Amino acid sequence: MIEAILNYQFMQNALLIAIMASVVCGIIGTIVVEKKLVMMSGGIAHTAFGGIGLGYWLGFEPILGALIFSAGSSLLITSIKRKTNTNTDTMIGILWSTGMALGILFIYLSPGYPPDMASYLFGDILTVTRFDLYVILGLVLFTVLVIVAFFNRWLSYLFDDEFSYVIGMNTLFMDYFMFLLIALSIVVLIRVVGIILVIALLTTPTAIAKRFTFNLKKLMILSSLIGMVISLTGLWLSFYLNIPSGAMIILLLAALFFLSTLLKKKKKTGMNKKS
Amino acid sequence: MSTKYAISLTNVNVSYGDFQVLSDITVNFPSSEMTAIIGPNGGGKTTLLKVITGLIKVDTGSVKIFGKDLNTAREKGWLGYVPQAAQFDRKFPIKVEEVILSGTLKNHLLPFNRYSQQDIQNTRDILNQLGLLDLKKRQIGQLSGGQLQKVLIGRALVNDPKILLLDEPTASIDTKTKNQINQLLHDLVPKITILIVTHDMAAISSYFDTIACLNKKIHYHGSDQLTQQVIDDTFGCPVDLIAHGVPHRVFQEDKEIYHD
Repeated sequence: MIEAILNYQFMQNALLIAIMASVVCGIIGTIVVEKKLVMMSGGIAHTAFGGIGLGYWLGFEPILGALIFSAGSSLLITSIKRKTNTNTDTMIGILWSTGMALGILFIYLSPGYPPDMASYLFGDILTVTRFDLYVILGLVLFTVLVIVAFFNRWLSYLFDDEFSYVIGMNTLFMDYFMFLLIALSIVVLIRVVGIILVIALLTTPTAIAKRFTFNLKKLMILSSLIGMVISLTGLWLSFYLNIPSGAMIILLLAALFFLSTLLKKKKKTGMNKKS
Repeated sequence: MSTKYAISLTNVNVSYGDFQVLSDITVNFPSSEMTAIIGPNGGGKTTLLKVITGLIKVDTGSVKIFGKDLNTAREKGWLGYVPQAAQFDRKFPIKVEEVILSGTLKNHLLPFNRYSQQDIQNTRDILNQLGLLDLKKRQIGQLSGGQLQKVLIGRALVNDPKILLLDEPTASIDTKTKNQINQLLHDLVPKITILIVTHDMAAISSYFDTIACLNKKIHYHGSDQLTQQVIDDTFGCPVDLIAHGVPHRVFQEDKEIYHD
């Protein structure tokens, strides 16, 4: 594989994007898990399909379409949630299916042969372009910067947004900004594992890390490291076994999650026996 | 801040859809007093606190804090808020010290906002005052209900607010801790104006200066005679106060019927 990395641009791109996606998974995944926004993130991810379809139909980069649709849907969800009594679950359901329906419609309307959507639905890290890489690098740097720069604010907001509002924090802005960050992260992760599997990559590293730490900062770092190790291992295995990388990464994460659950349970049982 | 009223609500109406929660509330809470808000479940007590904090917007009417609007009060850090402890995710990865420090965030508007030595010292002082210094590195999930309640009070107090609003701070905790919390709050008056939503009828006569009876509208607000009739009207049914361990002064139509 090292030879392939040295010789092939697409392997270098894949490696870089796996590392960058893991950082995003660790940071934004922790926010998604702690704020209990897993299904919301799934809804935003599926809305991105509409943007990808629009990109193909109108002839611009599909990833930009995904970015516009994800960001738009996240802002729409926040706005509707604040202004109406509509149930969040209902909104997720509507946006989820509307995004997919628009994607299918736009692809149908696209001139010429229909494009292969499998790489967007199930991810294909090996088809990442240089353009994708630059967009994703920008998103990752932006995400890391705003989380690190305002970490204490994020901690307070995630723990108790009502109290944060009362002491003068602009939680309306934080709401919109958080959903925007989630949307941007989803766009990064779509290239790695695809729309269908994005929720797993966003939540599983944090779920595993939560077994080992109770500190938000450490949780973000550990989730990123777990994501990195598993993504690179998944990439390596998929290269040698010639199987889809996105699915391999998710299966490895799921295996590690169950293993960590068993280890934790065993440790707890051992401690109970000692006492 | 020269006005004698800490909180003034004028013709406040709040509804959730078709359901009116607060109906034409006009009430002034004087500064430097500890007021209990009592009333039945669904009577609008928590909504009233959230209206005063700005968390719930009024349909009509106005809310003033020391004669100023809510945004000014929030920006100046006049409000301290202690929500119901039961609403918290006890598995959230945050330590006692971090919770209290978060109350000082108003002081940090710039990026990379590390806490100042003064904030850290204030946090230690509050932890010491609450008897929680030994628990400062504990996760909130490892605290008892009473300890968590004290931590939330500490977070509200650390930035020296002028008004403290508490939503059932003594719910589901033992009598000893309940008394500790009530005494702690009582000692903060007159420096701080305190408004507490409570079902702890037994504590009313011992710790509170003023009582407000709320069930969609204010049935009573004052510091003198809380009559059986007012209590019954507020709750919409006869309430046996003495059976609730209350209070050492109960009046029946201006006549004292019980004194312990």
